[in-house]
Amino acid sequence: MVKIVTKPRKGGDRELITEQKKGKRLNLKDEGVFLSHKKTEIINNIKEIIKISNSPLILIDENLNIIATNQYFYNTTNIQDNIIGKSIKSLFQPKKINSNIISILKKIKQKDHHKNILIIEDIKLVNSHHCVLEIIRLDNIFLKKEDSIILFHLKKSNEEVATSNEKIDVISFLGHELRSPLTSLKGYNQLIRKTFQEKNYTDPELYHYIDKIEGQIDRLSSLIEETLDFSRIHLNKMNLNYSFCNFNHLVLDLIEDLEQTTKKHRIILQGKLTEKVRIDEKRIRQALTNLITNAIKYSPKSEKIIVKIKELKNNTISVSVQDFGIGIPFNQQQKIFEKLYQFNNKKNGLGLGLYITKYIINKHGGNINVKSIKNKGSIFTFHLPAQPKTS
Amino acid sequence: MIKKIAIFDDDLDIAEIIKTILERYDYDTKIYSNSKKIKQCLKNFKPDLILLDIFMPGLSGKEIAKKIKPNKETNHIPIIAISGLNEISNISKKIGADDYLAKPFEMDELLKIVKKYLE
Repeated sequence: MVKIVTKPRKGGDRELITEQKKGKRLNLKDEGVFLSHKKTEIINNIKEIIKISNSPLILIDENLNIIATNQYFYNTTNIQDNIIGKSIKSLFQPKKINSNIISILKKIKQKDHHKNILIIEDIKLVNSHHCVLEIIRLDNIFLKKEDSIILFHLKKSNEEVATSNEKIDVISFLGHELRSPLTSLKGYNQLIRKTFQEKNYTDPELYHYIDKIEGQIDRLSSLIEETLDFSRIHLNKMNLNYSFCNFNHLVLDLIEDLEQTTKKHRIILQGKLTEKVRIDEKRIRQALTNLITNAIKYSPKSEKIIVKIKELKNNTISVSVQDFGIGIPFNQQQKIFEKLYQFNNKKNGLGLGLYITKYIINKHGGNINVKSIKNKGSIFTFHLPAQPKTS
Repeated sequence: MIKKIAIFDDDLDIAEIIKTILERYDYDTKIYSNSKKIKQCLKNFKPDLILLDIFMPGLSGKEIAKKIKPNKETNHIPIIAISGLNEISNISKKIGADDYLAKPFEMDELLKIVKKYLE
């Protein structure tokens, strides 16, 4: 759900008012010029917000033409043509709905209209998709009501949400079913290895092929697990099993395991915790595994990865994973936590790893961030309450 | 003495790989693809351990456990629940199984858990 701040923030107010005073001091003759400049500035800010928002939003100008939208709009509505520059009327059908929208727009722009959000529960798009439409008026002290900025927020109709949940249920069922043939594959591959060893076959080529199959089975396995986690998150079914855990042991054990997967890297642990923490051990292990394997993957030319753990004052622990690899360009640093985001367009996964990692950390009541410089490396840091209140 | 393991699984691919692995390590095994055959299994095969897929045609995992655990003659037989479901650890406790194996498992995990209860 998008949160629209309909009143400017306090700080923002002050800043704008100061500028207005400045304007007066400068004896700006034409107040209109000042206000239109202000409006452009506000619209530009809103455009930026739309870009980074994860709700399907559309911004229109006074001629009802679309001037901004985001990828979420296209994803939600399945509309594929570029809509920028087109009239908002071109999105809906039949014509009756359009006249309905126009009258709502008139209504919402009325000076004394107290509501700044009006909702049409079921609206049909040109591609026959149904959705819920919210028409939002953004108030601003520099704008007259009739000049107000109008945002369209499209949401999936309840029916659509239900269908999408059904789809996710199917994915989840499929994921569980796939675990069985995977178990067979694993078993037979291990049997082949054992048989070769027992018969004293020494040809390295044979073992190389077995390793390759094993690698692909592991890849398939992690794809299935990521898909299942994704469906769990979507259906809000990822529950945490809290227990007290020796975090130092957890990290050391994990590092030992992951060092087996890399010939080049040394994973160095710095710091330790003095007390046990209450977490879902399996999930935190998963999150940390994800960060360290990413660090290995994206630092092919360096040898060192540093994992730092420490206790902070407010009953919080901090965990960071630092690599000295290719880094992440600034404009991609927040996107990497989005679902299905493929960093560097490398398609060797689903693009769900960091999305799931972030979800796990947030679900524990913690947060995660990244600092990165291109070609220097990245530091992912997460904070967790050592003993969360909820369980 | 050779230990006997009953494999209750209607997915024959899984049942066969489990059987193959266990037989390599000298366990005597028998596959049952319908859980209704539990009586016959207890009476004729007399297993030392049961590997039980919790979803299969016939009786539920819980019903099978009920046929084994309250009976003095059979309550020593460990039941290992097997499933691809994530909730397997909770489900296995609920149905009264002694332990569980989550799919996809490794050959070593299977051998380890079997050894744990048989040696």
